[in-house]
Amino acid sequence: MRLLLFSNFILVVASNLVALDFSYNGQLTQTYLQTTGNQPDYDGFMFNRTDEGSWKFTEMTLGGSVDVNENFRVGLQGISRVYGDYGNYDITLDWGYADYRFSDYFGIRAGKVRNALGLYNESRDVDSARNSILLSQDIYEESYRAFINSIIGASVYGSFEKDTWGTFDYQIIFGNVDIADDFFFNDELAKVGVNKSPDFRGDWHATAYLEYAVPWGSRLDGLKLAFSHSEFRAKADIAPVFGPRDFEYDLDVSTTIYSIEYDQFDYTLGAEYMHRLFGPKIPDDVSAVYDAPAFAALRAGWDGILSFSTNDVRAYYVYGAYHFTEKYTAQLMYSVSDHRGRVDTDSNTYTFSQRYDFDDYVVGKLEYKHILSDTGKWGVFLARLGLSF
Amino acid sequence: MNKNYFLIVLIFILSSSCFGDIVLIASKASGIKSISKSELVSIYSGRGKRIGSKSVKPVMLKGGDVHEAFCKIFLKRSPSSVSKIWKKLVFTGKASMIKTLSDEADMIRQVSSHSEYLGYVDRKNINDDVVIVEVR
Repeated sequence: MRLLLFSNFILVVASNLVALDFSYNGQLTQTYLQTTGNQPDYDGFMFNRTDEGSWKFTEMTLGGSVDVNENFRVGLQGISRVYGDYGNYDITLDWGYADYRFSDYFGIRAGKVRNALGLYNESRDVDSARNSILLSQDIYEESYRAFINSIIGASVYGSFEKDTWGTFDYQIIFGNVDIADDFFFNDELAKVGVNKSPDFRGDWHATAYLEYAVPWGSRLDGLKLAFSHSEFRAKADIAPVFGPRDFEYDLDVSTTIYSIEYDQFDYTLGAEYMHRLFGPKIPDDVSAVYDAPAFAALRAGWDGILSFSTNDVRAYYVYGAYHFTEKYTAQLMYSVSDHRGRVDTDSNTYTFSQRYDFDDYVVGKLEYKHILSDTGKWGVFLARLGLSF
Repeated sequence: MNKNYFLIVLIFILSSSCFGDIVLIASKASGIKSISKSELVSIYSGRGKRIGSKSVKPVMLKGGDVHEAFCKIFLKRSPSSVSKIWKKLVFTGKASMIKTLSDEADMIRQVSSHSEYLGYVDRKNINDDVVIVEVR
């Protein structure tokens, strides 16, 4: 916290001393969440038993940036979240980087950059930039946030535009992920008795994002297509409370997302399809022991948190939003996920969201999710008030 | 049939005149005379920063009919959609928030005194301090 405030202070002072163009921004959202119906005891990390309602869903960001000159800018943003049992208002660096743009075609960013995966991962913390409260949890799972939120490293990016063939944007990001920064994953390992002292960490992470938008004024103006692919390896020194021996666990995760969005004056339509493959690597002797019947129950418990076998996840969603007025928008989303692996689960989620913009700074949202899965049928009601400046 | 056709044309003309005739403007000192459609969309979407080799900064009105018409006619988006694009850029560190101005008089004043600014007003409010930028 002190470091972030100090860094922002330095940005402000530096920009005043040399008359640079400093800008700052912030967001605060408070959400009420209540689940109804036959919710399973375990369903990801965030919807664990909140049938009496919960206000423990708060997000805050504060950031600033300085345009040193027309090509070079630096900035950072801190984030603080409380997310049910997780977060506890811990303040972490959301992003912070130096950005040099050689031309509109080519630029480089270095530091902690947001990960451009799918249409929304990069802006997943920007509540005012979308209609729903939660993104599709089948693709942008909150439980998976620690792995994909931001990458510490570098990215190259650029944009090519022509009236005749439209716009082509690209981003390639390479580096590593600080999993510990994004709370709760290591805590979850401790809860299920995987580790005496959890230490899950990223090894490397690479993402490529390509986006094409059709030409302005053409028949399909407003249509955007995107492809993104991410590969990463995470590692953990597993010290099981029960088990054969301590061992090193490697997890290779590959994610591909195909996206389409059609944005018109009164309405927006969109869809995304994701294929994610988890490939864990466990020493053979350890795997043989855990395959024994005596460990079956333990292993089943762990599989929800830490993949011990290959898992194949396919998910997609489609949505349509209608802007009834400049202030009021309603959106319907249908989302499906299919997990194949040791634990096979399917789920279908229907979401109805409403957004009301009181003014440029204050947004109110209401949302209801109806979830049908192999493990139960339940609903989630959310109400959110957001402020941004 | 002819009556319906006439009615449609009339409605179109009336609705067009409600929006007025929006023109892009730049400072006389900028030397900017024209802009391609893709450059315009790129600049107002925060992706591009140049017209040819000239560096530009877009400015927008805070709201109102002229702003709505500009978003609809030039960007083919709703004002809220344009606002979402900028919030996304700002909160992911990719751009500073676009400068917004309260009215057209302020728009003309600011654009005329900043050679890098690109703005828009209703044609009837234009004066000699700024030049019209043609969209090719």
